Amino acid sequence: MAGIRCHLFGLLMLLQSFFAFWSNAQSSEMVEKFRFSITAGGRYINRDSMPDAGNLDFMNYLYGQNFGADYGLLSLNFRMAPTEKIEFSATAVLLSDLIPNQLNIDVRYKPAPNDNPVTWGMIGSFYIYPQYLENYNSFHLFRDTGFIADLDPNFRQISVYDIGIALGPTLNFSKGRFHGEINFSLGISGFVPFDERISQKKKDANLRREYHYETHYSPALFFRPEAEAGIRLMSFGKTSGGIIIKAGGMWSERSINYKRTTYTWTTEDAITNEIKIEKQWYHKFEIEGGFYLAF
Amino acid sequence: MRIFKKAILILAIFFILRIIPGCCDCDESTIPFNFNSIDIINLDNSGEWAVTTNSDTMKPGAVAFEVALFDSLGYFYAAGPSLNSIGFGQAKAMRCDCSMPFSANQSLKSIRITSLYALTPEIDAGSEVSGYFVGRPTNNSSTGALYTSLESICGQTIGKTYYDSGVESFGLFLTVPVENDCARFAVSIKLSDNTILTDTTRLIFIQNK
Repeated sequence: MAGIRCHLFGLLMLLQSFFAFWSNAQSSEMVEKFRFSITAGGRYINRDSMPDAGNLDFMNYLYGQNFGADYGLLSLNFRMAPTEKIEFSATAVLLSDLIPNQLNIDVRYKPAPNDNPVTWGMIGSFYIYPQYLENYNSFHLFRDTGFIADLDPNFRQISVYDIGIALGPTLNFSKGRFHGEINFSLGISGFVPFDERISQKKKDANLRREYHYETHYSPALFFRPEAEAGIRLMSFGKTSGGIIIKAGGMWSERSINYKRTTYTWTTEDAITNEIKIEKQWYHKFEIEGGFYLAF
Repeated sequence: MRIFKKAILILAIFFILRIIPGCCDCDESTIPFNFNSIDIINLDNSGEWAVTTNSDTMKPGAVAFEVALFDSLGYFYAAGPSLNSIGFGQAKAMRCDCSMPFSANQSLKSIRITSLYALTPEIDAGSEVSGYFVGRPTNNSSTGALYTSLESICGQTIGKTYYDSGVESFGLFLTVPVENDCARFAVSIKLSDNTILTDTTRLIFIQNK
């Protein structure tokens, strides 16, 4: 126990030294140099549910709920401004599994920082976030009558990752206790390719076949507005804390195209088709609220 | 407190000693045997996966058999670890449970299947119907849900080491629905030393409904 206490004390001393150094390093007046925030909220994902027609459309099987948020979020955000013109931001987001498998990295550039309440700049973003794709075997369960349409009895659910980059203007304002930010970004994103197999057998017969889906990276343009507002509730020295609320959306017309290989009886008997799926609207909306601490 | 630490230390040493001799110096040499017997049993492949059956009735599209080749001296099975402990099991690392790998003196060269009854109006009695069959190994070497060609079944026996038993077994699945009321097949397997093992299936009654 004494060893653990010693390590904790050492860690605290290290953190204290770091913050002391950081505070001394802030020679010029700025709103904040380093900020940590923790926010919780929800993510809503909506996509046009198109009929599957002759081909499986994976977009129709992205996880969604009829009521309430599709995903609960817990976000940990770190911001650092090494100079007045540049600000880096990294956000790790935890979903219900409490695994930080979403990452957002933003770089803000303010070409002409000043003491005015409103400043503008540019924001560049990289992000990757997961979402569930589930029950897509139901396409075959409904279509392939006469077959045991999926020999895998397990519930079909995988995580697919949406990866993208964006660029756009950012507007910052700060007045008294209030501060905020509005971003408008245009970008390009797509789902990280994945493979899936559906094995089937004809009822009362020997015939077996297998569908092998290999998706392609199908990039699509998107528009992403974001807004954040905060109120400073306390401050002591160069440290301040308060509450923030932020919201953001994403609009995109996208599809998941794939190569489908159909094996009948054996792997030697294969038919390959390149499937191009019609694009459909995809909307994402997030709203979060929480606390921040700025040094 | 010191007693507790000592007890933990003694237990730790005990368990480390149980783990250290984890690698046994097993004899890797294989035990040779001959394929000189053949056995054919019926498969019920009407469900998701094929299972052996004593029934002689099959669906028209689900005619299937399992063929086993082995040494007439008997089936060889390596002795499995005995379950002689209750509760916290023994560390197997304390003794050597070496497997008994087998190696056949022959590999399969070809599989020839002849239909003793007409299958369809186009496929007469006495026709060679090997091309209408696909196979599937029945042991752990079978992967995926699909079948494989009879040539692949033969090819995978070249240089094969049999860890579980000295038996080569595989399923044979007919790819065309039988339109006759009954079916029976003769299966001839040519081995790499040019010996031929032949057996006939039981008379199969086709259940049309």
